Amino acid sequence: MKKIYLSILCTILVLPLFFLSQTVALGAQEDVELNLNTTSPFKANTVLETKEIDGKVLTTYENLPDEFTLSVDQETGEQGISPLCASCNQKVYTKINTWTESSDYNFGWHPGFKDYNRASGYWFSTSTTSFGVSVSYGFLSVSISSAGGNGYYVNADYNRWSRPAVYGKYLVTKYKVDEYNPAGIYLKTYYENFPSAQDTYVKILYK
Amino acid sequence: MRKLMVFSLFIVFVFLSGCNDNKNLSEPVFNWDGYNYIVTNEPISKDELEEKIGEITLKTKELPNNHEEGYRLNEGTNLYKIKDKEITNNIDSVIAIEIEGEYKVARILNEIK
Repeated sequence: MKKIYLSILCTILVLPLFFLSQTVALGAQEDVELNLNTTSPFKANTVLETKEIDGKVLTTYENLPDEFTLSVDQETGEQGISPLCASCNQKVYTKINTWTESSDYNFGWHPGFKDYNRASGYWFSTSTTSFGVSVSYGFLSVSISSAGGNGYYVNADYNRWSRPAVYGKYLVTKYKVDEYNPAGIYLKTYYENFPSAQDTYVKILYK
Repeated sequence: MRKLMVFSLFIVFVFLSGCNDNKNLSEPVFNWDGYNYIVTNEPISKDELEEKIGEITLKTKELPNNHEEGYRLNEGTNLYKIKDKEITNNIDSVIAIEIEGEYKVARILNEIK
């Protein structure tokens, strides 16, 4: 009896862990597909990537802190946030300022709709996924809503070819970068700009 | 054995509590005539508004259930009817809302099953 009970208990405890790992794996796969060939200093699976469950469009950089540190592998040139890299240079970022490049910027087509459609409307879920766009200040990752669950509907003119696009505020944040070698000795200071999207929304465009 | 059972049931209870998927949206939501509307970032100009139809009367911590309750919205937040857009509470129903001096489109929140 005791053994049976323990086995049932173990099953109950282990099963949720299995499903949790499945969800994370699927999310990571999605990011890999969407962020190939980017010049972003952040990998899609770093903790700097933020995903919220809502209908709002978010960016990888949207929630960057005012100060953060990146490790730069001298051999591969790869960057990450892991502090456990003995051969890596450390880049300490300090936010200088943020400005609005455009208050209503077209970030590109909504990736959920690959072409123009003859539709009377489009339904957008409040769950999110992401896609990448190239802007003048570098690569930008934008999150947008995907299908399933709760959402909202946007009307379109059935008599015209329509396609949803993502619009929003295009911001640029300037960071001062202090770079140190693996021994902690100061090397140089320079500045980097990071693009980001804010207050994004879907707009239906017509041919 | 009894202690083990009590302890294990407690653990299971904690796990199941964590599995509760009662996530709230991070976007503002308000209730109009029993229907919830999600506030989008879609801007709308003041010229496109017809008239003020109400305001948020109660700020809630969960998604609202009653008329003019607002989640993540302050009491007194103004709601407007959009010109040529009847508030039908159907799938494409829209209402405008004023947040920090800007007007945005709120769309009825549907659940696709």
